Amino acid sequence: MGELSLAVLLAGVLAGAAPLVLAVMGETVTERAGLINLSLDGTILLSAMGAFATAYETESLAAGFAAGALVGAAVAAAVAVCSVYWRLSQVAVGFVLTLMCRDLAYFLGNPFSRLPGPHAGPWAVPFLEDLPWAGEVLFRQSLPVYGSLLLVGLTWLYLYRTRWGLELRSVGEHPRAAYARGMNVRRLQFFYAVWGGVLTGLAGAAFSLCVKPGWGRPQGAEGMGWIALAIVIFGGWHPLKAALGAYLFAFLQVTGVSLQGIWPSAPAQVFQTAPFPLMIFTLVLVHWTRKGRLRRWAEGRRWIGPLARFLHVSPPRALGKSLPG
Amino acid sequence: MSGTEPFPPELWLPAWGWRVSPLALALALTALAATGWVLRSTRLGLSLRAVGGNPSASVLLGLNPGKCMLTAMALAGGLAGLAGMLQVSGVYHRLIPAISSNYGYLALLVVMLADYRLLPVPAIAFFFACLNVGSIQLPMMLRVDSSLSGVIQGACVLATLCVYGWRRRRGSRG
Repeated sequence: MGELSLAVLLAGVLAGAAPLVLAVMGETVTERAGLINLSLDGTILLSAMGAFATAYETESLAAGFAAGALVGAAVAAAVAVCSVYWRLSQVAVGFVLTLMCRDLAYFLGNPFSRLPGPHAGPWAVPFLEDLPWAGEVLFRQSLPVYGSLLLVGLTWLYLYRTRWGLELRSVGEHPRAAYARGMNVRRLQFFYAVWGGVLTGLAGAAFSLCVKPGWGRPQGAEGMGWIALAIVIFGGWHPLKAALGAYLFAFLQVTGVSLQGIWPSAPAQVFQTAPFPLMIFTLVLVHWTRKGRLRRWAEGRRWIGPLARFLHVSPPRALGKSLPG
Repeated sequence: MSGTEPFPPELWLPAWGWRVSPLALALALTALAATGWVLRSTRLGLSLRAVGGNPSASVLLGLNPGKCMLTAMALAGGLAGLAGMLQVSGVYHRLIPAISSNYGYLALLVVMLADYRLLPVPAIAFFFACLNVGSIQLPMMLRVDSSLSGVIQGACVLATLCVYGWRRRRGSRG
């Protein structure tokens, strides 16, 4: 790892973060509509398994991605039906489903483990790939990476620049007012839960067909769903800040691998686990910025003030509360 | 499987014939009884139940919800630590990466299946343990993955959650 160039590092970050960005965007949309889909971790694994199995049987990557999206949508629909229509605890249902989907993925995926299967290789954009520096970073990636980059912009546009996005946010902030304005709150929440599920399913497919090709136990995507949930909070339910969080996490993971080459004496587990406690630490920082006294203290200072304002977030007002009655 | 060398046998929990440690069993039953006693008949238990039932009302009663939750978390963490001790010294006799066997997640499922009551917990925990132990044989006997037990447990809890929710809705309407 001697010649560690910035372009290679950035390209690795973009590629590694692609599934995480997909899942984070999906969960951001779902939580903006006031629903918590806690089943992310299991959904990612189950859709990764479904995508790989389908792609292996049909030898078609498109079918694999479609299967992943379908699995994700199905799990999200289960969470949404239980919490929106039957008014069960969203957290409890999501938690049970995350464990069940994980075990279901291991159980059903057993015949497909450690098989060589199709995977989405890099697909260079013609002409643009020859750009001196940006070509290497941006335009020699695989399709899920392009998709994830486009999705960040599209999600932002949808949330803040369209009427539907306004309706989506109003449902998450004040469902009763939205209901009074004539919106079908339950149907919207169900729709955006499934939307988030489709993106989460694509994230799982991106894992097993692109970033960590193949299926096995462990697959390598374990824990990513929990990280995605944490990044949504870190990003303050804002798509651009959340994407930044996802790239930050991928950067930590990539540098962990290269740092290990520099200090071979340090145990491997340190670099594998370091991003997780760092994530917890940032969440604690985010929480501190909510406290009034600390905010006032930080206001006047040159560096801490803007940083505290950047980290300060507030959730959608009605997050996690189903519409009563 | 990676992990440390096994501990010398002096450090193992003493066990009877088929690997049952009387100390571990006694510890589990004591923890169960102590939890029931604390929740039912002490001031701490009353405050915990008040905070859990309605945090904003408990403030009016002069309770500090943050402090109560912190106490509860610390007690729960201590019990989880005891479980880890039993795993190391009673079950595996060494430290391995998968030392928790996902029992932390499983405990949450048990509590949900018991609808947050204490009395059904031992029976459910025993049932889940039977599923877990039985599923170890699955890869050898039927060549399917041992995670089938997790699927069954999850399906049980999900179905129970739905039934409880349905009952509550029927109750609130009728």
